[in-house]
Amino acid sequence: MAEGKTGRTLNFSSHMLPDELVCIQAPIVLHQLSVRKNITRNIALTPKPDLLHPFFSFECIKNFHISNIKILSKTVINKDAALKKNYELSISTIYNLAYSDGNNQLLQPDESIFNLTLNNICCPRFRLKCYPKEYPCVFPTAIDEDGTIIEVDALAKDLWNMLCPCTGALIIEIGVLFFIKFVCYKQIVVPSYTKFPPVPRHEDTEQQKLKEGG
Amino acid sequence: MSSLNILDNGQSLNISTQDTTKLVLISTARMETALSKLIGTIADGLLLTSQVCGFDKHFFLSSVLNMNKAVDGFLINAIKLQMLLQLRIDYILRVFDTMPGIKAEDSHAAGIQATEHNPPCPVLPEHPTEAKGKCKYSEGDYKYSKGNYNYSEKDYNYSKEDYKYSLKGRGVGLVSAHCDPFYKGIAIIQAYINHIDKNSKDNFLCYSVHKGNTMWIFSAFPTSVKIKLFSGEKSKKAIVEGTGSIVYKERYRSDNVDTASFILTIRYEDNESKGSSFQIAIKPDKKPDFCHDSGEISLESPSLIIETAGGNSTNSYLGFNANEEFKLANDICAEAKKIQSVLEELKDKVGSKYTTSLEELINLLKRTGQIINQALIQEMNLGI
Repeated sequence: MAEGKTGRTLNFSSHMLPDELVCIQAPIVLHQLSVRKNITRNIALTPKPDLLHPFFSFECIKNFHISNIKILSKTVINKDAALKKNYELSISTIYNLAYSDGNNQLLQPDESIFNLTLNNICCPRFRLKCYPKEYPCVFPTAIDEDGTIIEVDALAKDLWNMLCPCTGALIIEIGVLFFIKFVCYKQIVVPSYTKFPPVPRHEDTEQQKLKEGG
Repeated sequence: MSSLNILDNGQSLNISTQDTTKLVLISTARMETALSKLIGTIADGLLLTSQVCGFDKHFFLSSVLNMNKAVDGFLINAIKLQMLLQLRIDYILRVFDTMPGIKAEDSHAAGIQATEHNPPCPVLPEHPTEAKGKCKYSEGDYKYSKGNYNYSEKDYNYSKEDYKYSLKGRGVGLVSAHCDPFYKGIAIIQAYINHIDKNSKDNFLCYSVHKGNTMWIFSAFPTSVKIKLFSGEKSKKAIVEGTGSIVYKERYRSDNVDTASFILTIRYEDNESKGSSFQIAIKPDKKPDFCHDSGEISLESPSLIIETAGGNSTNSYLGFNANEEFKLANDICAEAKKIQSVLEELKDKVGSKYTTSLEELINLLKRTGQIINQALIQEMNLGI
């Protein structure tokens, strides 16, 4: 039994029997936050092999993306309620350094690992049941043992660099803004219809009033 | 696998580099002679023209102007050619300067005792800090003593030709000296020292080391760099010495600059179990805090190469150059002779067909201008 827009009670059993029931998984964001992190990298840029007298110049960082996320440690603050947790994450990133050796435009792959400490993450897992462990996702993820999914997206920018043009010695500071989401998926059962359900005709209250008045 | 190639002086050559450079000089002289002969011939032609035409009003002014234009072009190209030849002579003289035989003979003649047969070049001890058990560099550490140096005349045959080697390439590794502030920092050496062309702008030796937010850059003065090679039974060792400037860079601080002397040791091991390596020690002139010893840095890739400057390639290149120069000089000589014969013919015709003679002279000059232009292009293609 359900109540319609008009205030009438609908009888599903008689009028709207679905063809089947479909289970869908809806993401629920438990907690989300952004973290800014800097890292200084010491790199030796390499010229093209045949070039005897290179003159290096650094351009930018390209193709920055996250390759792996690991949960280093997890601490549950309030165990009974399981409401808050502290996480230590290790996020591996891969990117290319775009530079010139004087004659050629080159890309040199590099990677760096960022260790993030996230405190007081609110994860009320006791209320929800997490279902899938593998599902298609746009962002790189890590899955906690209780099923909480950690999604991370990042935005990187080279903030400062020091370069020796003759040897290609490069010190570069990379600033990264991480967007972190703690997500779990809730299972919802919904009716599915192959045809539009036959809704019983009910005249509008205004029309009825008109009829009664007439 | 070895990472350092030391090419021995070409033993298969039938002619020495010294002889080849002499040949280049002779060919250049021959070219100069041919050019002067051609210029002389042109002068004869002009003289004849002036004698023939004088201020005769029958001559068209345009013809005279044409002739003047042709002479102008010829002279410009001739001057360019002479400049190129002068450059070549300078280059060859520089090559001669780098040849130890010639220098040594001069020194000996002047009564200066050459150091060739002295003990090998003094270098820093292999690991001065480890051996002495302290990390601070002192004057004592930098004293070059024979005792610190492991290589003796008995083990290694000291090369008499100190300055014939070239250093090319790149070496990258981690600083291994525990006491150095840049311990485990990235050390990079990039060099192109070609002693055959000492004053070339391309010659450079740069060493940098960086760690954290600090970078230390050493740039050698190319003309000061000396390369020596010691050959042993199982290994070879190259010693590169010189002076240069250092720059100490640190974030949020202004750069510190000083001059310094350096010793770079490159070791090549024939033994496969032990790879090649390099070690650089730099001593600043004024700021002792900038002392640096990289420790032994192993080379993983075959990138740092020492080769003989007067090796096969250079020798054959010079030989080719001399040969081409001779051909070119002969061509110009032949052309001068042709022009001379044409002039002789023209002299016979003088008195009857003034105008024809003048036109022929103009054509002759134009042709000579083309020959000189062609010679100029060939000279430029030759390179030196």
